[in-house]
Amino acid sequence: MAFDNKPLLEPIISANPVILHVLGICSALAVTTSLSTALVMSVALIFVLSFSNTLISLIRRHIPKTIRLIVQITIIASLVIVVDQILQAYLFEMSKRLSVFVGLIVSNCIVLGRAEAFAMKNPPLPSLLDGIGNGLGYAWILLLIGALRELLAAGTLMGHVILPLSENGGWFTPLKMMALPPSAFFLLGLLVWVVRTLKPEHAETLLETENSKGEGGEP
Amino acid sequence: MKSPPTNSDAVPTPHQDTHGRRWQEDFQFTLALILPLLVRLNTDGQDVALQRLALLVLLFAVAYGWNIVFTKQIGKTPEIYQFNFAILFSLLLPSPVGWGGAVLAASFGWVFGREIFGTKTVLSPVIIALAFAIFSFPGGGYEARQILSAASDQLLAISCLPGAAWLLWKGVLSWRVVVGAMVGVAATILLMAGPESSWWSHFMLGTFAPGILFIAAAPESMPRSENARWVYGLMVGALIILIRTANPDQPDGVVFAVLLGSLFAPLVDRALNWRPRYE
Repeated sequence: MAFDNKPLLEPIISANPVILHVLGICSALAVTTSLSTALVMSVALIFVLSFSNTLISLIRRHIPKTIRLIVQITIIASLVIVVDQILQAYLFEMSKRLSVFVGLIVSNCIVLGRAEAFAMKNPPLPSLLDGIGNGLGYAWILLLIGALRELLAAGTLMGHVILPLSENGGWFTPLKMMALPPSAFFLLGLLVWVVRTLKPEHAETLLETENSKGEGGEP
Repeated sequence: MKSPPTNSDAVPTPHQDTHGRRWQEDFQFTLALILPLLVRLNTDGQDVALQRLALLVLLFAVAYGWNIVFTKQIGKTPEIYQFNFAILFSLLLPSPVGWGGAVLAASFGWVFGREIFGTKTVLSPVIIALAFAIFSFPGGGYEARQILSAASDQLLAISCLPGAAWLLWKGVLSWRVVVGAMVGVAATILLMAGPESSWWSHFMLGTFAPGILFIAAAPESMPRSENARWVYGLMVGALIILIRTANPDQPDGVVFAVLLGSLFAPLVDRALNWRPRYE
């Protein structure tokens, strides 16, 4: 059998879980205040997603249909606990900054979605690739938004000064709004917009309701 | 009326008319804004006044430029609405935000408030731009400068009255929103501080007068139905006082009050004019 790289490459842009399916955006919005938190979160998600996909795919013929969600969640939750413990042991500061959001990978729609939609129907190797691919698709968006927000809000990347702030004698006036959660919404929305302009097949078909009403006027 | 209303617009959709507004209304709006602008330029002093005028031209260019980018019509005639946007924003914007910040905030407000959502927006572009400026550049003097001195604030408030009265008489602005906001302010103060408080002083403070008259009572930010406009006005007035008293960092509070009030406008419309959508 020839090596099929579709499960790996497709989710990165053309079937991206965040910008096409708009899954997992709650954590994408919450952890992107700086590049480092986004990076750790991405690595954690790639780890959980690739292992959960592989494990679920390995036992997919033995999982009773009626309790499959419980089995999937148990596997995912175990992996998340492993990640959380590793973070607390080796990167304690980072785990404090990420707070509950590592734990909330359990309820990340991408993980359960890929388990249900892909791993339950496919052999382990494609499932592993699908997990890594979706994880990377999630990761590059998180990293992009995290980098933009940290750069614009504090003029730094990973804590290194890139744009010297005016309050420290530089020239850059930071956009404090970028440190607030709504800015992640705006950036994500703009990103979806850019991708859908470049790839029009992403856009949902619009219902022809609003534009056919004719001219508006005072009621 | 061209066609009988269908079920889906049992309640008129709010804010549909910002694009289809007659240019006469926009032009009357511009005339009404001239006096406040002159007063503000006069209190500025010569240097700041020149900067403010330059900023006005720049902001107009920003709005016009984005409009051309989005409509893809090079050489399109500029709309008067874009000019009003520039006047209002430069009137209410403090100079410490700086050129880059002002252009960024104006672009954000114009693109999100006008170009992307078009006629379906519930927020005035000016409010979005001002909120962006306050959030992005806190302590940069916006709120601190908003309440400069009682005298210049009073002068600005009084200078808004002739134009606003004309617009109210013409029906461009809604008197229900204005009265509602004033009642809301007075009632909230009387409830919070008791009858001996000087509730009338808040009408002359900060950007209350230009904010309520030219932004909150303008067609694009208020609800569509007339009973909802009362509720909206009361809500904005009460919120202004709540923000002014509860948050010492926001001595003005008009922008956020109008922002919140406008966000609730479609809901108030729907709630007060409720009827089953399917018979």
